[in-house]
Amino acid sequence: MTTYVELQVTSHFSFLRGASSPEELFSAAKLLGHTALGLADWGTVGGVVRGWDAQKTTGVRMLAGTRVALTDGRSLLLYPTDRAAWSRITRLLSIGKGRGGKGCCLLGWDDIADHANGVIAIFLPDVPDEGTARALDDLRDVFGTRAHMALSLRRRPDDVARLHALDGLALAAGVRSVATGHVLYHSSEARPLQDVMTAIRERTTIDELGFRRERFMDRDLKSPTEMERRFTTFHHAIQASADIASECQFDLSEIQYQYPYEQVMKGRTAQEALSFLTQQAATRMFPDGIPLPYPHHLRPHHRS
Amino acid sequence: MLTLTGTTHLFGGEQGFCQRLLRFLDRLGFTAAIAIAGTPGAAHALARYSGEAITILPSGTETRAIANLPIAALRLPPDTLETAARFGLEHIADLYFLPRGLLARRLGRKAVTRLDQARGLTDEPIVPVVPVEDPYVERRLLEPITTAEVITLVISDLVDDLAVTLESRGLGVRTIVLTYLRVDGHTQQFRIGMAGATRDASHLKRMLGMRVERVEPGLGIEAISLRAPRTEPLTPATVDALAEGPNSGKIILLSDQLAGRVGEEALFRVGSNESDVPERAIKRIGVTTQPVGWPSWPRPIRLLRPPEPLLNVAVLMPDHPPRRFAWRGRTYRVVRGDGPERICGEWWRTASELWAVRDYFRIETEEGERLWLFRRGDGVDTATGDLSWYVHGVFG
Repeated sequence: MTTYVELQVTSHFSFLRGASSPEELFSAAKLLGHTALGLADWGTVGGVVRGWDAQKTTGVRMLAGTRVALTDGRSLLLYPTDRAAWSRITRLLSIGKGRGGKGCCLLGWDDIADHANGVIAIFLPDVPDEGTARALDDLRDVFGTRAHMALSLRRRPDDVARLHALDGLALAAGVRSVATGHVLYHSSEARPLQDVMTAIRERTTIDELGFRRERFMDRDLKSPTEMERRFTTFHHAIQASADIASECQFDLSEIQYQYPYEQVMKGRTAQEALSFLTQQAATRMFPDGIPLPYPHHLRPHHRS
Repeated sequence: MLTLTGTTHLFGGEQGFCQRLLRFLDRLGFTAAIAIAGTPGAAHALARYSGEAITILPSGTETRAIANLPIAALRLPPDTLETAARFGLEHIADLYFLPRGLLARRLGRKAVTRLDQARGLTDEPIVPVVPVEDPYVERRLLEPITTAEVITLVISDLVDDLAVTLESRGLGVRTIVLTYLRVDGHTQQFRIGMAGATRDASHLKRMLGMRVERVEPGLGIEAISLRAPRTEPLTPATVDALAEGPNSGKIILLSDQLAGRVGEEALFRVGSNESDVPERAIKRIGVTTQPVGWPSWPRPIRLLRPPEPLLNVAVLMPDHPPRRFAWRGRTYRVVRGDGPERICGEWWRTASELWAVRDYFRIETEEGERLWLFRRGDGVDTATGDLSWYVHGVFG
């Protein structure tokens, strides 16, 4: 029985970043022996509905989350423990998108702190330096025991040394390390596709892409057994991934369709309120009486 | 040799001009002979061999006029004259009747050209002698000066003027002469030599400034002049904004000289190419271009081309460095290792690279050698490589 749960998965709902659909990812996860998969797209939760479908098909439980990049350069994975926390995450994304516009999400650390209740945060560190140490302190202050830091292999020089240093920093800051696979595609066969998508994102050709390609390799989904073998020396980080999965009991089925509350005037139905406001405005617009062609348009519209 | 075209009427015609010139030379103690002709060759010949003080030849009659002159009048080298004498050719007219081909074979092409030039059959451009003056600047002062400060100021102005003159003529000075004229009529001169041609104003000011204390102004200096009696051509130097440090200009000078000797192509600098594949990670760039964009990852100081295969590799798969291997007939034991660094083939270049993967390891052997090894394939999927091992580089 394996314990590892993959929590850093990017689907193609992260526009021009992830190269695989949620269906592909969940099918691959099923075949590799995963029991749960955390879906965290960049600045969106757009993939969760398809992921939920895939959960029903494959039986691999979906942990619905998101990945946010803050304006100060920090990146976090956010997972809700319950429905209230899910609402906070989606509200946070709405705020970010309201500022950034289409395809952009502008958030600062203060926004994160305002929406941290019941949310599990996984900080994605780059190199073990003072900036990372500061970020870990902030994280612990805001998220407390729900603060985590991702450990992932990049297949670049001094990888293991980097992980040990980061793990040490996390320990010192009182933040739990969690192993992740920073997955960009379900199978290594999708790597060329991912390169092409990066080229499109960077508005260049594949020949001109150079170092703007994904700098870290080995981004396909691994089996839990393989991940546990790779992180033998970080067993606590493997255990942390399972602990997060068991804490995140939010399921998308908890969300039912809710008709939004209609703001009506006291003592009037919605229709009466509309008629009243229209008449009022018409009188204000035409103090000398409404011109002939208009009264026809001002007759009450009937709801079908 | 003078070109008189369109000028003789100023001196009373050609005859008048020649007489005035002869009188002038006579006063100086020279006996001269002058010939005016339509071609430089004919004029040269007539002036020397006609035996008359003044010969004025109407244009177009050169062939006849020089016919009876000796061949030596044709400005030919001595050995050609010797050959001509052996063939019994004495007068210029003798050459007129020889076939040109024969003439060229016996006396050389030069003789044919000279003959044609004298007869006006071939143009002979006259290369004018341009008088060259030494670069010279001077300042005459309204009031005599005596203090070192003012003298330095005037010298500074003079150097600036001189630098402009030098630049416009493409020259650099090797020797510079500074002359002070004192109010009592005495002059003082300082001569300064340079190691190399220069027109660097600040350098010249420094050199001259060191001599200011030795001036004896007396009652005052009323004029200072700078003359550069020895100059050398100095091509303009490009100032490189990229290069830094005191020697940057010299490096450029050096690279120019090297490129001149070994060729532009042979001189280059190594720059980064944006590719993770080590063989493609470098490119040649211009000498003065600063390389940018080196990745921060450690790379061996020396890359083997091609990578050399390892034998008898003992390794724990899939992501451990080898424990033992043989290379170039020696067995190595690995004590430390880092990796793998995964480098994927650039699938857009060749079909064979589509799935190719190399896993690189930095290792340190028992004896302390640090090598860069790689394994073809990711150790899991056989399509990525055949799991053969190579050494690709040597760290310092």
